[in-house]
Amino acid sequence: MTTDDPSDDIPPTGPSLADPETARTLRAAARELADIAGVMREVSVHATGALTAGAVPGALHRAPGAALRAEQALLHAVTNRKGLGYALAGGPAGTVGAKLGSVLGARSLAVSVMTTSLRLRIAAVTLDNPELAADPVLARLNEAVAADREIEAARALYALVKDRGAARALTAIAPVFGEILALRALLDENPLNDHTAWMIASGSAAATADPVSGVSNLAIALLDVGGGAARRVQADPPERRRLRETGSLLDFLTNIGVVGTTGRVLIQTVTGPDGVERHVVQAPGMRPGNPDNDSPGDLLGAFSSTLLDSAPYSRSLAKAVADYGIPEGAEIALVGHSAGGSAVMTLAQDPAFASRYTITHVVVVGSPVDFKRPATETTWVASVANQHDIIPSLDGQGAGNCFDLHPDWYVVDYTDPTHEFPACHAVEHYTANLAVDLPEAREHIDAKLRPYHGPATRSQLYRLYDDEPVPEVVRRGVAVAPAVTRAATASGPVELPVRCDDGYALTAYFVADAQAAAGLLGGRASAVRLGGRAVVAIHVSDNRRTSLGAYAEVGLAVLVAPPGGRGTPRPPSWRALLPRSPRADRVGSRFTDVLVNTELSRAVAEEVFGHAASLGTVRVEAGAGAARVEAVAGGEPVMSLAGTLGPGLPVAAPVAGRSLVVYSDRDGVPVRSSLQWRGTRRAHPSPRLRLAVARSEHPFARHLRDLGLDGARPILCLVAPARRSRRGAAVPLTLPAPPADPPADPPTDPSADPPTDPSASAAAPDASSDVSEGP
Amino acid sequence: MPAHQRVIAAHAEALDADAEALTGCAARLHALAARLRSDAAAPPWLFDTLNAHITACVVASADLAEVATRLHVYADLLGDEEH
Repeated sequence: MTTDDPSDDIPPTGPSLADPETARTLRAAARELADIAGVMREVSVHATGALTAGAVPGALHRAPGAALRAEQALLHAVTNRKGLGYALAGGPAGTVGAKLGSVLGARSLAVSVMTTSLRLRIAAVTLDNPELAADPVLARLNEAVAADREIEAARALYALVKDRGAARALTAIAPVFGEILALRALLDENPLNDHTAWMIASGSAAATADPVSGVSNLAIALLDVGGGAARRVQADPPERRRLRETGSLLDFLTNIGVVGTTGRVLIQTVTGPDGVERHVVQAPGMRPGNPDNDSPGDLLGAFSSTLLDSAPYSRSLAKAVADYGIPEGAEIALVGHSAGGSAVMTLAQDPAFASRYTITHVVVVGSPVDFKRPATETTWVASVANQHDIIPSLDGQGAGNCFDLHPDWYVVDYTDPTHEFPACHAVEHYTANLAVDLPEAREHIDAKLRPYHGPATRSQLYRLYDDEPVPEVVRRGVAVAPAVTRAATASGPVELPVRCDDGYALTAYFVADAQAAAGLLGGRASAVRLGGRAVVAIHVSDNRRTSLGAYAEVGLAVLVAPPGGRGTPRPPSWRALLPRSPRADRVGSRFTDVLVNTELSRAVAEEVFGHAASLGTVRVEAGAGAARVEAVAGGEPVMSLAGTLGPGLPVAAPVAGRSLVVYSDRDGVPVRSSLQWRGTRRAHPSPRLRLAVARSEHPFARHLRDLGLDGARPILCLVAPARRSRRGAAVPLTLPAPPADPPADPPTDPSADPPTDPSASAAAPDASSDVSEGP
Repeated sequence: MPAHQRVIAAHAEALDADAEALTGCAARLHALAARLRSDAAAPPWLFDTLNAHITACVVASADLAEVATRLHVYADLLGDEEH
């Protein structure tokens, strides 16, 4: 199906046998039902508000009979199975009530009507894809999901995967993927995914959470931070030969295929038929591999480009465009595939970029862009999506979308005979479809791109980065092996680096009161902020075999910008929390309290590393998927952290080296040390642990209370069940001289250069002296 | 008008309007069912489902109208007490 200006002719799209008019009727009905469900939900919110706001019982003593009769009628109205159903909604009490209802499987009328809307959407897609109905296993799955027969749905899905394999099963349900997920989420007992399901079903916004688990995609996207950076790179000779030297839709898509998912983009200048030079930004999709590498086109980048209004991918694209030297006001076409399409659309909706250049066209293939809109109304947008490609539906709207979200866009939503996912997502597959199966769509887009038809007079590849890349010399410095030294402590001499050959480590990150964190730091460092809150970590380790003997410790640290940094520190990146990248030297930890269970380890913490350390008992119990940590000092409990860790995912290859940068003061001198370790690590993004702080006057407990962490749950946990580590001597920091003039605030302009980060100079002196590659 | 009475009267009016909105929903569902009845592609399960929604709408509308009436009575009693 294609749409453009309503008056335009709609070209046929490939070999689909659908009756577009009938499917359109069902989609229109689904849209109307979604609208009606929205009205019902509003009504439910009002009724819940009247019930829970307190006004009715507030004057109970003055007219008790009338008040009770009104309360009773209200309660009946929002719980009547024959009417509004279990309809508590909106406001804090309504939200809790709705979640409770979801757990109990009690539905509201609004949800029932929305369910009918989703079932109609599936029926409409089935008309476009008759194989969905002809396939008995798939039909069984659809029916079970729609009828809320959970076990039967699970069995049908299992049968589908067993029969076809995971890839083909995904291919089979791809056209109705979003609808099935939304149906499941609306009808299951998990209250966390209801909001996302409603957004998908009502077409009101991009799905900001996983509709199965309810885990927030937006939270994941927000971890993708960085100002963006771009560096010119040369194409290798075979690539250069394959890059097209003319401008057309197929040429641009072919170029994207040549550049590949390598973290690079291509900018070309073409001379149009009118002799005017125009420019084309060509952005490939997600770079495979580590979910968070130094490229903005990684998995996190795919989430952030889809869900956020500005992301490292689009910011680095803007920097590439600025470096390329496109004159202000010049005409630009943005072409992208997959996450690259989301990124170019994000760039197009940036008012600053759109006012600097004339964005004439945005063409995206296989991209989730339904909830994006260019800043300039005159920008012409084309979106091409294969109904069997799941990626374009990651924002929640796929083939079954019944909402006319972009009446002014040219939308090509088609099926082809092969439709194997993930093969159908490849840019080469889209290019072939447009060349062979969709000639009219291709001609339509090419007609619009006519000003860009002509010889390419300049081509430049850029490698994109989340942030300014760390110079190689600094990177290499981190790898220099340290010399073994000895240090004297009150408890005897120790050998440095301190070595641990076997240990368990748990790091729990919390957000905490920013003022309290600043107070703890006492002006010696600036706490990194996340949404206006400070980020603190509780580091727990049970060091079973170390050069200091066996000991356990628990420490409270505030994440800080490097000493000598200026301005408001940036939010921590995912990599800063998983300190593995070369940029680990930018964000460090400052321990405010350390509790250890041996005198020697206390002396080393205090005298060698400059931490306020005390002696006590630290009990660490770690089981499968759970942890319990208790700290006791002077016979009194200080704190405990206990609970389940929730789902986890490996954060790096087991052999990868990692480091934690620690800033402290020793004898009044700022020092920096680095802890490096190896061992499998898992990240738990939705931990269920809870921190309990005892009513102790021990500074550790007092600081935790000041930070507002009593009863808090961590936002992220990292666990290494068998860690090897080394921690070298703390080295005095040489800080750069303060700037003569106060620096300007970081520019909001995405194409402007970021302020110079002084952390490299602060880190350099010790970077090569105290850390090693690890054992 | 005292604060409590004013708030309760506002709730009553809002719920009155909501009862009407639900009546409107029932009418829209009815019209939708009638439109789709002539469409051969409409799935067979649809009409029973729509009828159930229409019935629920009517019941919910009556529930809310009853609530509104009781809230109006309550608000009036509070007003009488003030005078």
